[in-house]
Amino acid sequence: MDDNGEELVKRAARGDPEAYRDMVTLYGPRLFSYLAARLRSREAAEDAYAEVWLRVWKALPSYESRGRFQPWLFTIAHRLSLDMLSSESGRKSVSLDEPVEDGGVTLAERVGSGEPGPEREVLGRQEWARASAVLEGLPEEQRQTFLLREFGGLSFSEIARAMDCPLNTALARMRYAVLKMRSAVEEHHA
Amino acid sequence: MHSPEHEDLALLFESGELDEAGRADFERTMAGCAECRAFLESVRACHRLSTSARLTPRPELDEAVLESGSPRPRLLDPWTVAGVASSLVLAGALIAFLGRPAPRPADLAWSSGLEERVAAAGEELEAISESLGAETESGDIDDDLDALESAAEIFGEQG
Repeated sequence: MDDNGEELVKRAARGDPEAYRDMVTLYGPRLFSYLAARLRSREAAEDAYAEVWLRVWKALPSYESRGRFQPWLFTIAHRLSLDMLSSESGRKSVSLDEPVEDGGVTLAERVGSGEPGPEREVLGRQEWARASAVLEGLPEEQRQTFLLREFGGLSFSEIARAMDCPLNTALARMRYAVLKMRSAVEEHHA
Repeated sequence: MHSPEHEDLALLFESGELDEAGRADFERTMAGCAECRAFLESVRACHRLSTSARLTPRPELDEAVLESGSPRPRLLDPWTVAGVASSLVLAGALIAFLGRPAPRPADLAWSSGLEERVAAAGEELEAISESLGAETESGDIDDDLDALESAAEIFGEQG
């Protein structure tokens, strides 16, 4: 996917609108999933999603391919989400565990129910609802590391660079996150 | 003996960040370490779970993103435009320089009316010869006059 992605990015940087569309199609679901989980708010995720692509578009002409577009994309998303979270105090966010619809249905439950929301999301399953509850309870750095790895597809070296921490720290955070989610995962596979 | 280092290695193994020798080492370790294998399976299960939970943005959102930020085709990049413009300016200046009317050389201005002056000088020479009664052969005078007229024609053409 990365090779195809790099080729798409090069074509988009040359001004090929079709390549830009394909790029959004290729990376969009991962990016949106990451932002939704990271920001815990559908509305904020949509704002951030549009903003990330706008930043990508602005930077594309000067983008120099160093092998992987995806870490670059998710580093932009990571930094934007940090900015949004730090300035979000006055803004209503919706936790995966908070009711977001009439009848007290939580976002996690809706995602897990398979029921299409108004945004016609491709929904996860019940196990994700359980796992997301565990994810919600993780310390912020572990949660960020997990999301960058699982949704962003970043390597641990790339995560360390994005989060400005040593490689061993990134590995330790992921290790703790995996161990804490293990019960939910094992329940899923039981 | 299982340790956190083995779990770190399992993470690096799964993310493809171990070199060939590192992968071989870890595979040997894993063969004798049930906890390592269990941890690796947990990592993989987390990945499967995350993949199944992936969300898709609304199509309208993607369309809005493409509408607002899609790159417009660039016919020429700015450096090409600048290069072509510079070349056109230089070519225009060169054409203007080469196509200008040739100035009349100032040092040939005196040749204007030369033929008349040569003819007058010939007449004057003949008159002097007659008045002096010199035995000047008229053929010599004619030769001199011819030479002067040829010179006048040459200068006249150049002027």
